[in-house]
Amino acid sequence: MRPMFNWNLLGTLWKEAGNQNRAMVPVSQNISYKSVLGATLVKLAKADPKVVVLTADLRGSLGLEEYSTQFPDRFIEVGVAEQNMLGIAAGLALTGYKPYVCGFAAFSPGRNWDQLRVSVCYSNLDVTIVSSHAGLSVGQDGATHQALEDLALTLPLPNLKVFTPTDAEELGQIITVNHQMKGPAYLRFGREPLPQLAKTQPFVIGQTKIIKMGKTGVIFAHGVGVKNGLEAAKMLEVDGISLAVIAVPTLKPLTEQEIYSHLENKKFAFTLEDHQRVGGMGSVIAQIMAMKPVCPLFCLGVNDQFGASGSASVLYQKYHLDPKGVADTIKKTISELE
Amino acid sequence: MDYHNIELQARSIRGNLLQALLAAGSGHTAGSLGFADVLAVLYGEVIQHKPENPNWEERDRFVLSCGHLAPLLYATLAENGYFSVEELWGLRQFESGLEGHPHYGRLPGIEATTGSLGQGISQALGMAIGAKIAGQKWRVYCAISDGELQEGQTQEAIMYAGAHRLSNFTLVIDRNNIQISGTTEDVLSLEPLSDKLASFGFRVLEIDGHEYQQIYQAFMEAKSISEKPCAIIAHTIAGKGVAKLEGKSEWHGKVMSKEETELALAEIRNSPFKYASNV
Repeated sequence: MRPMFNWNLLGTLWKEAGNQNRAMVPVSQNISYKSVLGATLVKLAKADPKVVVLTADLRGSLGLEEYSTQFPDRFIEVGVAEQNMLGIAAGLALTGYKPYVCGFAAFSPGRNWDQLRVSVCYSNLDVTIVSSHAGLSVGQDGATHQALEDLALTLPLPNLKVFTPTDAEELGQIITVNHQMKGPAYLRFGREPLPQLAKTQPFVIGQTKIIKMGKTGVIFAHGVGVKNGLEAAKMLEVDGISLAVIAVPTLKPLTEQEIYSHLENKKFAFTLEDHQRVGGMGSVIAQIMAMKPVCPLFCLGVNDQFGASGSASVLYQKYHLDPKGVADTIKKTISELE
Repeated sequence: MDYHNIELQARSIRGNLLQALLAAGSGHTAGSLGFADVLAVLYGEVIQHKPENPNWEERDRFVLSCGHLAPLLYATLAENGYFSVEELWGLRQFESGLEGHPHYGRLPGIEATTGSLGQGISQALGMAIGAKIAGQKWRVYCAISDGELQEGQTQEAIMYAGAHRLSNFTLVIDRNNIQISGTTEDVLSLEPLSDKLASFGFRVLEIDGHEYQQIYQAFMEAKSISEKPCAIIAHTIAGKGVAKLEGKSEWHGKVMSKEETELALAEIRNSPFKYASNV
């Protein structure tokens, strides 16, 4: 005989799951990327009749509802069809429009990488691909939705600029600056709202931003890596380890001199990102530093694994990308150097 | 409509593309020959364009989504005055501009980069949407091959065009029933194609892709339909014009030898005209 469903069990599970998920409710002063994305696109579209926004059934998640209401003629909903979405964007660019392709980093690029390569980059068209929900930040949806390889997919494509905004405000700055530029661009950022760490410095393409000064070593980071790297650096100050924290919002074209300018008199460097260790910002900086070795470089990121379901904060802990995990890794690495 | 003139152009296009393929030493022969009659009519009599002003904003756009038929596209553009015929002998050579698959920006008349199957149709769709947004009257024509329909992206695009009733968008399918590995029906069956397209919201016309009257009338009918996009299934014979190639999938990506090409050119030149001259 089938066991009766335990109606009381539901209450217990609900409470426990709620505790885990409530553990990292965003702090109110953190601004969500999507709110700035939506507002920035509305502003651009008002000034420029050539702006068109495309999405594949994700307008809610990307903060595009206001835009779609204000500019219904310049809002293209392609349904769950990322390949067609990028092709349509290319066709619009060929017809003189400036399309913004908005999606999740796990599916765009990924699902439509060939289209990005052939229809957009090889034709060098003015298409901007804006991808949210990058990295472990996605949380409970799990590995299939956590893009940990999107930078590896996009960095090697000729003509494609690659941007990794530190926070929501910087996302707005990058979109505004890039709107005046020719050629394709890829912007990626996480799901979670982050503190505005980079806002006091204007965005200049190719340049890094000093978030914290330091004497002995440096952490290069993007996205949530900047926040977690900064907190880790503050923890390590207490242990007498002085680390600079540098935000890297442009991965391509990244001025090599920018990297070297932060390495003077430094004994070690780290990169930190919500991405696989291979193929992302770590690899870019490693290639730069390999040309003129100044100090050892250690790349921190997801270590050749897929993501998993869990709250973002638990995931960062488990994958050692949270402030304490990063601080511990840095401390251990430095001690092994001596 | 001067069908004799079209027939002359089609012969010229076929001859030139074969010479170009010979000069290149590689390329796609069968499809290029098979679709020549459709493009001769499309460029000769249907699309609104100004070859001397290839960026004319109100021009109709043509996208060759089956980009491997590049030799045919280049020969058709040359025939229509976009550039000189002599340029054709640079096919597939480094920096000639005549890339193995069309690269946007390299030659006047190339509207989009194609070659990875299934991508041109979405780009053509984007152009049609762009025309609608701006309230412009020009039309978009897109050629795809039947084998290309196996790519999922084409279904995405067809679904969108039908759902949004994009009447300024006309799809032409090169239905020659061949692909690299054999007939389309053996490799991955497409039938019933007409029913499928109709169910996606297209008006479907089926024609003999070598009969100029049917080709012309189909394009005219497509232009007159205002409530849905139109798909023209053009039944063609791969390799048409050279008897020993006709209907053979092995000639999809193969070129003929010098001797074979010379015989083929003679065959095309000497074949009887279907339409008498109006003069």
